[in-house]
Amino acid sequence: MISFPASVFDFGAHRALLVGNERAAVYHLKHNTVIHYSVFDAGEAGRQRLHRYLNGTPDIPFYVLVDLFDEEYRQDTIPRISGRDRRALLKRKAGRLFKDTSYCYYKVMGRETGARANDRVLLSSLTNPAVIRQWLAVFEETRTPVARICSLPIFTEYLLKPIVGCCDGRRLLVSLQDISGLRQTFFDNGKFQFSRLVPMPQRDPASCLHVIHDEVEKVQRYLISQRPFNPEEPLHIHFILGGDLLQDLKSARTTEEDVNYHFFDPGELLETTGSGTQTSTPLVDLYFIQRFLKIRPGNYYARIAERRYFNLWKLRASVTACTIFLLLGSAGWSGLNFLDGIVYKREGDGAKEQAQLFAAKYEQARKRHPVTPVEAPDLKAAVGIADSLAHYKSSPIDMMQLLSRSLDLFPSIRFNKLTWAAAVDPDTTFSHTTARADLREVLNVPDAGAATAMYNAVLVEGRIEPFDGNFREAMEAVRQLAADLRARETVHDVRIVSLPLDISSSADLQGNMQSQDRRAEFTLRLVLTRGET
Amino acid sequence: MKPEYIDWEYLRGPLVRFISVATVGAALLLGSDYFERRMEQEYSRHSERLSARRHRYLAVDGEEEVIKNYLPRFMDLHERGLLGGEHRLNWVEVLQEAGHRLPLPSLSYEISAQKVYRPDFPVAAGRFKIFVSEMTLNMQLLHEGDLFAVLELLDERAMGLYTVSGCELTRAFVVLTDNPDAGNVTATCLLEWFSINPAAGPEIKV
Repeated sequence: MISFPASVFDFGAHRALLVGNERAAVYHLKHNTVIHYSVFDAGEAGRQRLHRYLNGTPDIPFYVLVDLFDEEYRQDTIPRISGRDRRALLKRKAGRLFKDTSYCYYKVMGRETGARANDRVLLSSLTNPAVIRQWLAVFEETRTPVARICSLPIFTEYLLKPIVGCCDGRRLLVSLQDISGLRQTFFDNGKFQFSRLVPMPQRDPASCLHVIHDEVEKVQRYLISQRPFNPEEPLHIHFILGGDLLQDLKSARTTEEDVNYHFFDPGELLETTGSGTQTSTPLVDLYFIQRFLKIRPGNYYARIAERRYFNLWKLRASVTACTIFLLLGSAGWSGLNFLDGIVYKREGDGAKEQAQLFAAKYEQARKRHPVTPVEAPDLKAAVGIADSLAHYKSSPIDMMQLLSRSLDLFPSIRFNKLTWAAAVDPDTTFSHTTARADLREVLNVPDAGAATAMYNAVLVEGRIEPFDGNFREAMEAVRQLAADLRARETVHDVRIVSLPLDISSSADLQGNMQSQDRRAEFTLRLVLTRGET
Repeated sequence: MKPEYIDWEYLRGPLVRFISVATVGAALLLGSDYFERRMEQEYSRHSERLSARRHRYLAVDGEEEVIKNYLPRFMDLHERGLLGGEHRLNWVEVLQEAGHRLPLPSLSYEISAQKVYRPDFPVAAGRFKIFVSEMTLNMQLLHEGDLFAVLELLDERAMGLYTVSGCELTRAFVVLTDNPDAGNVTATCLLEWFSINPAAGPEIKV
């Protein structure tokens, strides 16, 4: 039985780990609703609890969001370069700025105006790697995939517009997280500038309010020291706090000429995301996590080794998807093949039955026919073959009778030798004296269109008898014989191969007038057409 | 991903499942494909048989006509020795008779082994094959007419059908002689004897 891991089919399920300095919280969301939430204290006991939790839960990747005191931010400029050079430069710069840590992040914020127009970059780092590593070690031990590690303050850049509605101007986002404390993040025209985290030692609203007042004042003073506020460019302070704390803040803070206050309830914000989870606390953790898992920004801090199980998890998912595809595909395809086979079988059985029916009917009908040694069509074929063979039967009799009739007109001409063949070629040279089987062929006669014909060819070797030495008369007699033959109906060709005397200029000629042994021999070649079909 | 980052233990399950499914899937595909092909072949075979039998049944009246027209000729051809086995003994006997009857100063023959004949003229051979045996005749003739007589006797008495494919006649003497032991003309002829039999299976038996 083949079973697949639950995580493969657990669509819509995501997990996040929100890491603070003292604690870490696991959020397990499914379809935007938190289905599991656990907090683990830093230290061995917390790690063991996390270990047990991870071992007992499905293999769903984790998105890690860090909210730590030990995160530093630097802004710098670099020359306008791109690609591999820029990455190398930023890496070197981060290495110089943040020693003893490998958790560095950099991103280009924009471009300076002016002649050089350098790129403005943000560099950040987790300066105390031990905080994050203690949790990552547990993930490594349990082979839990870590998709990415992001910074909460830098990530809030994505939330500015959804929360506030716009990104322009100078804006300070003030939020209170259960996992870490009071976070103040400053944005200039939507770009992250810096962030500050302070712990909240007391949980009662009065204490919190006091701390919030103090800390916001500090940041305000710092910002004024950098660039004073003015009515044309006021500072917007956005408080994301809930419950009584929000009401207390609203009553305590009134909008000034150069500082505007805005208040947001995390519960209401959570509702705008369509989350099925309700919250009535002043804490923003859940909203941030919900948005984080929804947006899932790129990786900031996780190294390749820490993400390896995520890559392997993707590989597993791909292999599993391929397996499912293969299983369904092969099952579907083979099912179709099988169905086709069944259809063929049924049709074949039907054809077989019908064939048997026709065979029975045929046998019934055949009973009234006489018994034959072969099937009826073969009777016809055999007779046809016999007719063809008889039609193409050849014999020298016709040729010899024709020759005899002509020779009767020329009593002085006698033959010495006749070589006859049923010839394929009217130009046959009779190179062999015995008739050859390969001469019995049919060929297309040029003047006979598409009809085929066979030739009877004969080579007549004869002499003039008696011969008185008159070559002129002898040659004339041979020519007349040839003319007589040529005039006969079935004659295709008559050629005089040799005359009693070769008088052509190209031949050597000699003779003896006193010699008694004088002969006038000739050779004639005669071709008859026969056997037209 | 670097090889040292690959945890084969972590991937083992999916890989084993993939290989198992691939094996089972391939077996399913091959098996079902084989089944389909076999059923298709069987269907084609039955279908062709049905078509042939239907055609044969529909042509049964035509067959009656064919039998009526061709059976007598077929039987005649069989009796004349063209259909079925060769009649070499008969040929030899006819040649012996020719030698005595004419008479001929000499007559010798040579018959080669039978082989398949491939005609160059169009023949609808159907399920038959034509076989041929070559016979070479060497004769001493008193005159050319004796050759005609021999061939006519073969036509008349010999079982089977032959064709003469070549002949060579040479006059032996300037002046013809009446001596019956010395031929005036030497003739060498090549004859081809045909027989027709089914391409596969035994000879035709009536």
